[in-house]
This record gives sequence, structure tokens and C-alpha cells, in this order.
Amino acid sequence: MVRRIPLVRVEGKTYALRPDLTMTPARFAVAASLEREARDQQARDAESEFGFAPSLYFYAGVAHPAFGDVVLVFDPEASVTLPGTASTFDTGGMHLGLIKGKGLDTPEGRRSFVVDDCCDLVDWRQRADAWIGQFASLDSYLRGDRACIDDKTGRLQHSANERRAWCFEVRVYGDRGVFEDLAFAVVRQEFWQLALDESSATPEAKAHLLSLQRSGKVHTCDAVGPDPCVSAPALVAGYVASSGGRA
Amino acid sequence: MNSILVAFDGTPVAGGAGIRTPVIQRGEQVFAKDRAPFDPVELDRLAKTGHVTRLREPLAVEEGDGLVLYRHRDFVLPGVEYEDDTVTWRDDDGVQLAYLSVASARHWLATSAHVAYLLARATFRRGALDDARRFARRGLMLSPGLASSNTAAHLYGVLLAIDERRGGDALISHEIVAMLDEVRTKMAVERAAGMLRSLRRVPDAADIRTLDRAVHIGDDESPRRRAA
Repeated sequence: MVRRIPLVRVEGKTYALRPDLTMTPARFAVAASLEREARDQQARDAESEFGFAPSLYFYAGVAHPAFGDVVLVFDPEASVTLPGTASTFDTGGMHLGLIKGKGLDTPEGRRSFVVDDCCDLVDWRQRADAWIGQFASLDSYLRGDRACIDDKTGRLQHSANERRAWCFEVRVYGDRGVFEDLAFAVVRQEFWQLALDESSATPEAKAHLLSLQRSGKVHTCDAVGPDPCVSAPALVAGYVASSGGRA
Repeated sequence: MNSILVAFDGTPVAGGAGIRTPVIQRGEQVFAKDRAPFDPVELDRLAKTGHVTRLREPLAVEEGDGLVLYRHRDFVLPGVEYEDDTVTWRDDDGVQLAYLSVASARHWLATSAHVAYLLARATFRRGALDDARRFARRGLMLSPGLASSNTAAHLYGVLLAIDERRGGDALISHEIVAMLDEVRTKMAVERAAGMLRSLRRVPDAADIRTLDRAVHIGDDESPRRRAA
């Protein structure tokens, strides 16, 4: 039995290569797809370096503010049937040599480590649950704290590394709908109001947004409250707890 | 030692306005809330990887618990501006920025939400329902403590009145139920909508003058008189 750790994807930053795919309120309102084409050059380079197919990127449980402030949290069940792979770190950071550790200072060393660490999506939930078990608690992992132990590279305790050196990354080899298997979203107040305004011309779109909200699937951050990535860890922890811990 | 605002966390929402966490440089170190001080070189990397949005021109700021207020260029409707002598805005790549104390930022948000309500109500009176809706939505973007805010209730009152005037699908009622969490706030929506329902006549010059006085929050001269 494994914990019900959700998949988390943060959107909102303007994509350098495909700015038209940036998750704006207008695209959110019409339930636009999450597209692999949006990924930046660094991700594309990492994929060819490590032999991954073009991917849609998620973290297990973690809302990282590097990617914007539209936090999308997805139920994990369906993902295990999708084609894709997973790693116990951010592969973009690994490709750039930003993750420090023994054996990780050459491209060959990094490639070899990535291949050894990689697993298919069918196994990611068990793998992530065991991985998060190495942290003081789920909350500790969600906050970005270091693990209690280390691996053979020493990356988990390395002073130069930050949370992306141990965030569990999930790569789906396909595009997905923004609301497909959505557990909940956390957005800023202005984003939500603009999305509702954009949906005014399409009653079906507006009705769908409101149904998401009525069913508790949209959390809006107050204008002077904490931002979505700051609010997300507690909401993710609540999601895992509401699933009875292990399910 | 001088403090300089060099960046802020997060991304401005196109067409929006709101608050972001400042990133301040003091001497050879950079500070951001809830983060250990770091080297300015690291800031370049954070900007490149998208962690922070750098200011085109750094801004000298007072020490203290401040916030970055932003207003995207599309936030204010074309042709509509009002005096705002409480905030000094700086243009930065299509976004206006200001650094304010938490209390001042909250005050600006509350005042601007109220002005948006006055504008929404006035444009509703003129029959410009699309503009009224946009003003109301902008006010709702800004209302602090929206779920129990009286201003937010008034703004929703405008949206409700617009929906009724158009014989709409009543989706706004569902939104009001979802967004406002107190009975008295929901009752305030009805009262605000009721005020607008009672306006049967076309507004005259006196109404317009009243509006100008109502929306004017800056110097002594009204925008309409100044333009004349």
C-alpha cells in the first residue's frame, strides 16, 4: 500500500520557445491542453542527453515556484498506465550539472547515474513513496527539507544543492488536458477573476469553472495572502491525509 | 547601507494587478522572504531559470517589511485613469511597479477595489454593461479578504444586476455562493444589485458630475474638469 502522493505541475511563467502555450487565464478558462511543446531548451537538451522521449513534467507532491504560480495537482492513479519515466531528482538540473555529488561532475557520470535511477511510470508511485519515506515526514519533503539519510552520491546532504536535487520528477510522454484527473488547482485571486471574465462569452466554460470551484477543486489565494506555491504544501498534505494516509 | 529592489518572486498576470514578494539587494547580498541570503550571481541564475522576475532598472527602497505591487498595462481600461497620489509607479516592461509597506499595499488594494466598484456602477448606469463587468472583475481581483468583503459584495451586486439586465443564465449566483462565505456578505450583494435595479432612467449631467466626484481620489481638481 502506498501513499496517495499527487502529481503536481506549476504553470504560469512565459515559455521562451512557445509563449503562446503559456497558461494564461484565457487558456485556463477554455481548458487548454498541457503540451510538451511548451518545454524549454534545457528540458529538450536533457531529454536527448538522457534518452527520454519528449515529456510533460511533474513533481511528486511538490509545487516549485520556478515555473510560475498556477499550481495544478493531479490524482496519481491514471498516471501509472501512461507511457513515461520518473527520477528522484530534477533531470534538467542534473543535465546542467547543477546537482552536486560524487560521480556527478562529468556528463558521463551524470548519464550513468540517471540511467540507474530511472524507473517506468508503472512503478513511480511505489518508488516515490519509498523515496519520501527517507525524509523526516511528508510535510518535510513537501517543504523542500533535506532527507534524513544520503545516497551514494552524497547529493541529499550536499550544501550546494537545493530541493530540486531531491524532488521526485515524473515525465509523461504525452499531452494532457489541464483538468484531466485534476484533484485541485491553487491560483492567485487576479488569475481566477480574469479566467472567469474570459469565460463570460462561453457559458459552458464558465459553468465548468464554477463546477470545479463548487466541488472544492479551485483554491484562490487572497490578494494579500500567501501565494499559490506557498499555500500548496498544506493543501497537498491534506489531500494525502484525506486519502487515509495509505491507499 | 542602501537597499535596492532588484527583482520579485512570481510572474505578473497579463491584464491583472496584485502583490508579489520583493527581492532586495543590500551590499553584496540578496534577500528574499523565507530564503537564506544569497549572492547576486545566484540572482542571475534564478532569473534565468525563471525563479524570479528581474527589474529592468533597480529601485532604491526603504528598509522594512515591504511588498511589490504590480499593475499590468492592460489592467486599466483604455481612456480611464484616476489620480493616485498614494503610490509612485515605475514602468518596467509593460508593468507598473511600486514598493509599499504591507499596510499601504492593503490600503491601495482596498481603495482601488472601491474605485472599481464606483466605476462599474457608473458604467452600468450608462448602459455600458461590458465595461461595467470588466470594472467589477478588476475590483474583485484586488479586494483583500474577498470572501467576507463588503466591497466584493457590492462588486458582485453589479455583476448580478448585469446578469439580470441581460436575462442571463444565473451562473453568477453560483459564483457568489462559491466565493462569498458569510450570509451577511451575500445579503450585501442583493442590496447592491437592488440599488442598480432601481435605476430606470438614463443618467443626466448631474449624475455624471456626481460620478466624477465619487471616483476622484487624488488632487482637488476632477479629471473631467481638468480635461475641459
